[in-house]
Amino acid sequence: MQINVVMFIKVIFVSAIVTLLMGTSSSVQAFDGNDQLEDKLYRQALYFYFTGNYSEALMQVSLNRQRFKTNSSRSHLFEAGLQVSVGLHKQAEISLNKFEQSQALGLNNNSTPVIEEQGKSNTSPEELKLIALLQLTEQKIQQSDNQAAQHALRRMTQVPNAYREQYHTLSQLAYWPEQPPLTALNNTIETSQQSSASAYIALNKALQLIEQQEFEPAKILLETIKNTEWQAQSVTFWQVLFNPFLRFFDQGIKEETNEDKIQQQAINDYARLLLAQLYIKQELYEAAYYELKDFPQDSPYTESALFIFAFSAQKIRQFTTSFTLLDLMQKRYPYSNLGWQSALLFSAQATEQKSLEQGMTSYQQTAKLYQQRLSDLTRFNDDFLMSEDVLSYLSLKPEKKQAKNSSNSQPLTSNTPLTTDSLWLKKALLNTELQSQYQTLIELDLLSIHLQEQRLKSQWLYETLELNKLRKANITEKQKRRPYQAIITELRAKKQHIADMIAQAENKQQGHIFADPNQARLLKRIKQSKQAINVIDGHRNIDEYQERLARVEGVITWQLQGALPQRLWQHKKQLNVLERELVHIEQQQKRFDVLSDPELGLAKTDTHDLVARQQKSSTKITSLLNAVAQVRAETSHEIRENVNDFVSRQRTLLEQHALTTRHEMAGVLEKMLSVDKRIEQQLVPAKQTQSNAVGTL
Amino acid sequence: MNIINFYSNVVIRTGKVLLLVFGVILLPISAYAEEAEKTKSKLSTELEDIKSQVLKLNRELFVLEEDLLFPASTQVAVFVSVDIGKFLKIDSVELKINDKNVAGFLYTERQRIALEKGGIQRIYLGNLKVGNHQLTAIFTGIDNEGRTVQRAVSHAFEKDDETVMIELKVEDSESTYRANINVEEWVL
Repeated sequence: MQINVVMFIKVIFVSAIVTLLMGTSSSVQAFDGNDQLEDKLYRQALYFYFTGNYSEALMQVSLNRQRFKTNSSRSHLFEAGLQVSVGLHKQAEISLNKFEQSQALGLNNNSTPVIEEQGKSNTSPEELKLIALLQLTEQKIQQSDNQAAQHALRRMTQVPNAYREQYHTLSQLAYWPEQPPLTALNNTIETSQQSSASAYIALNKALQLIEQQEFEPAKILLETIKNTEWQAQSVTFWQVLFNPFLRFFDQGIKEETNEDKIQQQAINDYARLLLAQLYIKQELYEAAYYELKDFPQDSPYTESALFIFAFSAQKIRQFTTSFTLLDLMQKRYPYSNLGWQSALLFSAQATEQKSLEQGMTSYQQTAKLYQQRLSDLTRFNDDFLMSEDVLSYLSLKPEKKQAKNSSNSQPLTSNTPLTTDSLWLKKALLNTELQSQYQTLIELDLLSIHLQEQRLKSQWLYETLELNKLRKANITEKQKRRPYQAIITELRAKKQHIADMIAQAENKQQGHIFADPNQARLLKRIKQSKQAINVIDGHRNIDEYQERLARVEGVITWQLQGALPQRLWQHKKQLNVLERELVHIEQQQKRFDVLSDPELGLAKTDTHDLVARQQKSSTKITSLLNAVAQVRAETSHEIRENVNDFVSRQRTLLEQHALTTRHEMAGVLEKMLSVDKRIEQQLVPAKQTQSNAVGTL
Repeated sequence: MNIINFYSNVVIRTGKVLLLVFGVILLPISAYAEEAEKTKSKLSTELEDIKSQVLKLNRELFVLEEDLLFPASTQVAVFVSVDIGKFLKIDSVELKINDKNVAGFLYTERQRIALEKGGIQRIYLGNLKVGNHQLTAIFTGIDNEGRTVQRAVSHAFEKDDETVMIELKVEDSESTYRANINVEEWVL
């Protein structure tokens, strides 16, 4: 039922931003590396935005700026939009100012490409800024902060046709009941007769005219609104394309939704209601009666329409109708002002139509009703003022539970529907200021839950840091016991030995250098045998010995020479492994030296920096929790005052009704008395005549 | 009291309240409006200030967590993006590094659409030693004819002292009428 203007603006705004980004994405080839990276970083933020996580999106934008130094005009604009979404209005204004500055300096002109909107107008940065300002105004109005809304409106210098109606409506609301200045509209407003946005302008205008007692122009305006087939606000291509889940793209761009129909009906109904009200003011009760005769039952204005209809029916002496309707009003709306007034009208009619006695009984019941309501009201006020938590009156447990269970909850925004079982609070919540205060309270609770989660996270980080410190200390202790220098010397000697062997083998191409132990033993035996042969030479014939020894030596040499390439390769590989091991152990030693050296103290600095950051965060969390508690207490106080004011107003109203009832009852009693007197007077002459007749007899 | 005027005023005021249904807010200016405005403004400023500080705190804790757990020298991040998404509506993705399952993600419709609208999702953040590594991703989804299909990609990369960021791009190919998975290493 509700036309969610904020959502509408938000969607247009971010859609437009997305358009910029998508545009850049599609033409990514033309970008240099930095632009490409910036584009990708922003699309990360977009992912969060499209999944509905505005806080994460905002954090991603600021993280991109902090870590990757991305600082374009579009980043400020996107940030401004997100800030408005989460209610950071002042920061949004700062971001918009930065955007304006970068636009004025002509920065990033190439990085904010103009995209064709399927034949419609282009989305220029100025237009996006306007959308952001309109969104800001809307939120300020929703928070009943009309001065801030007026300030935002004054910042708009020029409003294109597409946004005129929205600008006009927001201006009417921000300046109500004064005439809005509409400074950004240079020429006469050309409102589209078909757009529902122009219907709101006309309705507000008519309401203003009625209040100024200018009935004729108001009547003409309302007749026009009533008889016009209003279409839903035109939905832009961007809105349909990028609107996340409000209208799915497969439903078609121009498909009229059920919501549009309801809105159309509501506009017409409200025009009829105002028209009937206008007739009442002019005492044209018959016109009012016929205006509301076929008013729909399921309209949001049924209560008011029913009351005016009953009242006008009474005035044109349609007594049966008015009697039934006034009775219905009392039963259907027992806590409404109109329901209370119906009771008075009902009693008045009973007195006039039925009898004075019946009228008196009815007035007594009405007075009892007001007394009951006054007692209820007092009880509610006492309970409310005594309650520790004003939120306990609302039924919003699911969201709070959800927030508690989900680490991805949105701590910065709340659109919780305010539902309550208390009929008085429900009535009080018609006041937008109170609504806004309650939303603030809910937001504060969400923030508090979020901060508790962050405190746990911070604690976990602290424990991780402590564990890291412990781990580092253990490693340092273990490493201290390791004789790095001896290992390195040994490895170097080993390396040198192998390198020498390889060099020797390569130079002399002798396989015996790589002889294995068995072969080395055989070579040794051959050498010893040769020495023994030399000793016995000249005493015996050694030819056979020498021949056999040469044969054995030849076989071994052949084996060794055959294995030489393979063994050379193996040794070279071994040398590589040794070299790597040496480099690794040298690096390890250096790292350990750095880690353990109190002079260098890099590790300490690093850990100290992390610890300091953790401690800073922890302190910040505590101070924020205190701030949340303080603001919560202030907001609760404001809510109590607001409810107290509401109760006073309701009490005054009920007391006025009770007083009126007593006056009316006094009037009825007087009438009854005069009737009694009249009867008495009629009876006295009759009695005298009778006594005279008796006397004569 | 002129009873007609009384009723009329009530109706007008009711009308104002009812206009809220349209997102229109009309408030009577009260005598103590200025004082109330000041308090309201103060509370609103305080709330904004808290929100802003909470955002800053979130960012600081996020950065601290990353610096502590995923230092740049070992950090590897993997992202998923979708270009159009007409030929493959992704349902899930599985990620393996060096044949070891490191991440998996099941998409909701909203998350899928967020990707199709241009968002980039970081699906994995982890640590790897310096050296050569192998990344394998398997996407499961529905093709344009409603069949469940899988697309896989394997990518070899080298980890040095800098952060490695790898984007898995699900891109529609008009020529083959199917989606391909392309890999891009971000240049930091």
